[in-house]
Amino acid sequence: MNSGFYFLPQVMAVWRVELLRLQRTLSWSGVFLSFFMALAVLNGVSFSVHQQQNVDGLTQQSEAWKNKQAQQTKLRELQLGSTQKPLQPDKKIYRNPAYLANTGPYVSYPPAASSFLSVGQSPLLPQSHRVTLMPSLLWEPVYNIFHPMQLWLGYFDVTFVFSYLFPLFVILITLDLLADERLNGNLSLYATYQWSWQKLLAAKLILRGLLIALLLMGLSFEVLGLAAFLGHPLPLSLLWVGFCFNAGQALFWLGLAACCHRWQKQPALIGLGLTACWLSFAWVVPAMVGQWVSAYHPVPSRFTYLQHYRETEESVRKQQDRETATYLQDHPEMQGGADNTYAVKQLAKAKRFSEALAPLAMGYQAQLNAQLKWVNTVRFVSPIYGVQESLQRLYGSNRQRYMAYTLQMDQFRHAWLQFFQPKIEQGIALSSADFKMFPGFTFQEPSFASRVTSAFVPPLFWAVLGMLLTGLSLYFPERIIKSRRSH
Amino acid sequence: MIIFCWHSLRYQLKKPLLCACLGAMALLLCWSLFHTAQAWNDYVSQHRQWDQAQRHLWEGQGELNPHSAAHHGLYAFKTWQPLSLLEPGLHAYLGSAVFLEAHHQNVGRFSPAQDQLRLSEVSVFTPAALFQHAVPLVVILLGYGLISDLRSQGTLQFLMAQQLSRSQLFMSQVLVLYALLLIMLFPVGSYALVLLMRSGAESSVWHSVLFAASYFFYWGLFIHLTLLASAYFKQSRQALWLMFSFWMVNGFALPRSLMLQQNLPAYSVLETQIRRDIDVLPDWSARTIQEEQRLRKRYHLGSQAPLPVNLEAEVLKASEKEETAVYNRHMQALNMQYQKQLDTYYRWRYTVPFLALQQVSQGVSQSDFAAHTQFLDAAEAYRQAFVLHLNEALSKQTAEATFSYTADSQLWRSIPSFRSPQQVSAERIAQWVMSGGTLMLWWLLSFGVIQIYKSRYGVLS
Repeated sequence: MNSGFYFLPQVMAVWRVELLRLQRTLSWSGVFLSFFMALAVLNGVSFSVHQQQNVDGLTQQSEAWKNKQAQQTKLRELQLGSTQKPLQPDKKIYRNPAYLANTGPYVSYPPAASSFLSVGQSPLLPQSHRVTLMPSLLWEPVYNIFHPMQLWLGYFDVTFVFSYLFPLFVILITLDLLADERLNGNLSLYATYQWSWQKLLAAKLILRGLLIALLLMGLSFEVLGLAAFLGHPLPLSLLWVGFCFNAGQALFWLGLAACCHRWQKQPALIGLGLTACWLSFAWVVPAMVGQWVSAYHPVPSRFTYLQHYRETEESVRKQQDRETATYLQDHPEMQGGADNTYAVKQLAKAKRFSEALAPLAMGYQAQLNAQLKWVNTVRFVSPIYGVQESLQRLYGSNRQRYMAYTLQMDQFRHAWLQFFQPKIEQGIALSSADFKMFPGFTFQEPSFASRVTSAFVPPLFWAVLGMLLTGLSLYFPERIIKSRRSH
Repeated sequence: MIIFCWHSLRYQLKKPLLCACLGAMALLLCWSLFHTAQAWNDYVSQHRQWDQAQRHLWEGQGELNPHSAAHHGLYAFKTWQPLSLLEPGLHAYLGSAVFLEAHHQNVGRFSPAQDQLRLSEVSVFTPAALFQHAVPLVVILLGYGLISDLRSQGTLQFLMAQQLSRSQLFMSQVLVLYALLLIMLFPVGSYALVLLMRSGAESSVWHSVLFAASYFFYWGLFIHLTLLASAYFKQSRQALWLMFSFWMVNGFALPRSLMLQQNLPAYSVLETQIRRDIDVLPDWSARTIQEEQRLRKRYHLGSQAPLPVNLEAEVLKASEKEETAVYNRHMQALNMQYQKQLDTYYRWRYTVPFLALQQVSQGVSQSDFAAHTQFLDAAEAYRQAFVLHLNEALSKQTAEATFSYTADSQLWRSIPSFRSPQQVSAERIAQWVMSGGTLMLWWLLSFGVIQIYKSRYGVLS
């Protein structure tokens, strides 16, 4: 009871000394991290604006395309005095359903509202696709413009600061947990106050944990404030979940540092070990796994795809009549009624291209999926990658979100064909009213709950591992170590 | 001193942790070189194959109208230089091919990075990236305690008693670090040399020399700075943290902060601007009238007299010329924005050694943005020439036969194959030499500081 009574004032005394010792490190780290965070938010916001600008532009282009065709059709209707006409007497291409279906609008992959917090691989993903009669896998992708040097260097965003730079701060403030005390002979001094090294380590870890939480909170509020100031307000829930993910990683690094101090006496070697761990988790392990995965599941070369495309194009051109006849044989519904030669040619061409290229595109997708499956395991091999990936999922800049977009794109294709197919088969021209009924594409954002559910496991795993390491370093029996050393 | 140096080296090599560190690094370097070399070989062999296949398709396209053939187009493929085995630079982020067709100037397509998963945001995993980031880190880890540990362990006084001067001791530690670096790099160096010889790098010996010299100066700078820090700080941990902070700021924080998102136009904005400028150009009938008037004026013909040239072919040529001018204007503006950003970035190379190294490394390997621009310019010149050649073939026909005329393989064969540019401009070489010189100056400066420091202060006492 006595020891419990005296414990709190003693802890407070240790904390006061520790705070004095850490004062300079804390203030400098705080300044640097806040500066980097502000820079990251600014950079992320300009990225998000750039992406949104592209999507808006493409949407406007699509609208303009539709309006132009509708306007021409309206004029034609006034000229002819009728809305529905078979294609044959009215050969105007802007009324031809096959033409419109094959040169459709853009479907766009908009940046998520919180994507400015995590750029990830977004610049390397297509932002839009042009709708055609072919399968959605073969729609021509549209990429936004970025500086190649920026892509090579990697983006300086909030996720980078939290996942990569913040652990360095944790390492920095955990360098003098125990080893220095041991080296300076302070442990014996503490022992005279009935303080075991376990108590000291626990007190120091708790203080550092609190400091880390405070700094994390401060940085999170800085992001919140800056984002609101720059016109990108964030919901508090997102901020809290992000905070928890980062705290999970911080717990792991605290545990690792505690372990290092438990088993290693030289402070320089502890610094060396923690730095080496950071480098391995941040760079070496993910990069090596990435290289291995791409060698094990290689995606087909884009040039092979190109070669197939060119050969198909050439063969379609040379054997157009035969291709059309084959198509008509397979699709007897297209033979009777109106003269829809153009439509049959386009459909035959699309079919031929699909047959030649879809297996390649699907093979590419299958390999990429296999790679992603392997890569998901890295989340449990490297805490830095694990938390980065979780933050990307949370903020909506990961590959899974893009895959959701490709699925929706495929659903849209069905709706698109469903709208045009009967008109193509009947060979009738579009009326101006039809343009208003064109199927539209709007990306359905995955819900916040689903994003959190898919993202919370790795940070939780690393937090639990961190706590286990801390427990191990505090309660691992001293006798075993001693006997091992003597052995 | 040499004996002491030899003994120090042997002593260092007996440390299991150090040997493990050197071995792991050497393995990592060889692993990354193996993978990069494999990617390079795949690209080069496939590039040759596709180039031939595309040519075969072009020549075998049968009877076709020349203007349709111009629309059908050609692909120009970028060549990768042998040194990009070690430094793939921006290759992965720039298009490997460009589609050349009538009326349009396209940008590069098929950048390998679009098909790769980049898991680490720290850096790519290529030999050059390891040379730029990992090797200096290993130098720091090997050297941060070389002098401070001697002092803290009390070995220093013993060595002084062996009639070894402070200067000799300091220099011997410098040499030990260089020797350790050499040992670590020997396997990957030999492997790289074999690969480079195989890939025909003999033609660019000077590039390779400049490449190697720049890395030598960069690593040397880290060796000198690490030993200075080790001598200055009493605790080796402080030396480690100072050097680690320098490594972090020099290699990651500053370059990334300097290359922030700039005001590049969004793709849709650029496309809309180009489309708007093209839509302003006269349409077919208006241009036909304009061209007819111009030709009649040129040949001094009356309004009824027949023209001595194919009017429609002339219209095609005129429209191609004006559309090319529109594209050139916009593409040049875009490239200028890219270049402006790069200029601002590289202006810092005098204060951030990593930037100087990056410029030489990517430059001499021809995997930088300038090399890509040169390729795009050459491809555009080729596009203009081949479209003009095909339109010229139409000029020989009558106006009525312009679009019904079909040419045969003789015309297709008369168009030469595209050759990726190999020549490097003097301006670019000057840039590399300037950056290489900056690194040498940094190296000399750090070496000079060592000399001043050890003679003026009792650093080792």
